[in-house]
Amino acid sequence: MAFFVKLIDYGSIMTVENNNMNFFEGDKNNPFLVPPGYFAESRAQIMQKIAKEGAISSVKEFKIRTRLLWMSGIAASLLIGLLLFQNMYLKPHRSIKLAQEIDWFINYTGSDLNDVTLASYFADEGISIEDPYDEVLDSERASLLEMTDYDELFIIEEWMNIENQNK
Amino acid sequence: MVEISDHQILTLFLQKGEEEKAFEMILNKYQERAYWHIRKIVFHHEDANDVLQNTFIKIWNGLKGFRGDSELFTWLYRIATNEALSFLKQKAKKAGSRIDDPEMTIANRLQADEYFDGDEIQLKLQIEVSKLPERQKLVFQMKYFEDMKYEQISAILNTSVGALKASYHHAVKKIQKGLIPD
Repeated sequence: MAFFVKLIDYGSIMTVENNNMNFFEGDKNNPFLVPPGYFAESRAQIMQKIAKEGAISSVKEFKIRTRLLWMSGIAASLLIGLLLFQNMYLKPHRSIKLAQEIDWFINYTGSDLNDVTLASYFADEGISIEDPYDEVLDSERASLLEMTDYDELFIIEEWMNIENQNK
Repeated sequence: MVEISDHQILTLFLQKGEEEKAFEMILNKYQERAYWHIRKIVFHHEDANDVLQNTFIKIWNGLKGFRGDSELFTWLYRIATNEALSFLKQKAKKAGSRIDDPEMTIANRLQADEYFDGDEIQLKLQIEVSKLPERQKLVFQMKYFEDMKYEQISAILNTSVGALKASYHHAVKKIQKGLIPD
């Protein structure tokens, strides 16, 4: 076998030429081959892939941007919807309910509607009487306050404080 | 022709619209070296071609974040080495228990490989190299076939020069032992 012949020829498995260790003569010659024109072709292939990668990443970027736009659009629509729902359904609905409640309260108390009953109602409902004409106060509740003499509100307030303390 | 330095290429890469041009320069400069480095690890041309393409795609993707802590050459070699090793691991995983005799498989594949033109001695040497543990194999490839300095190998493999010398010594001993039948 050529392999053993070479071994015998060299006497030793290793040779040193110009300070370079070799196992055999010529073993550092590259035994691997590549198809003709491989490197140029491979370069072109890699550059093509890179261009595609670039295109893919810009498509990805575009997709992400579009998705973000869609998401913010949906969020804005939801917010607008919620506000509309609050203003056009919840608030009027609540006002009607309050008006009904007040009607019921007035009917229920009847002739007993006085400072004390009113004060306990306000305290129960957590209605502030500091400024009955405050815009924040429901118009229905304000109208209830208007049923009392404005000067008497201070008496009511005192009653409310006592009611609150008792709670 | 004056070779453009890595620093010049990296500076060009950072200029808007010049990325592809700079990358092509890297490709021209390092493609062949990277290919042969990979080929000596994976042995077969088709495999080396796949690994080479993945390596350069990774380099392209990572180049924007390359901070220049190491030399471009070292960084590139490190990516190529890691890609080649993970390729081999995946291949071994796929092959699983189907390989009864890895030595025979490598020998048969190399002999049947139309892109291997080595004589019997070179074939035997490649088989012995393939039998080395991963790190010794890498050190041997880079030192023996690629004539790289220990300092360069140390930067690529992130190992001390002393440890590399020891690995190389062990690798040579094992190959010698494998080549001389008792």
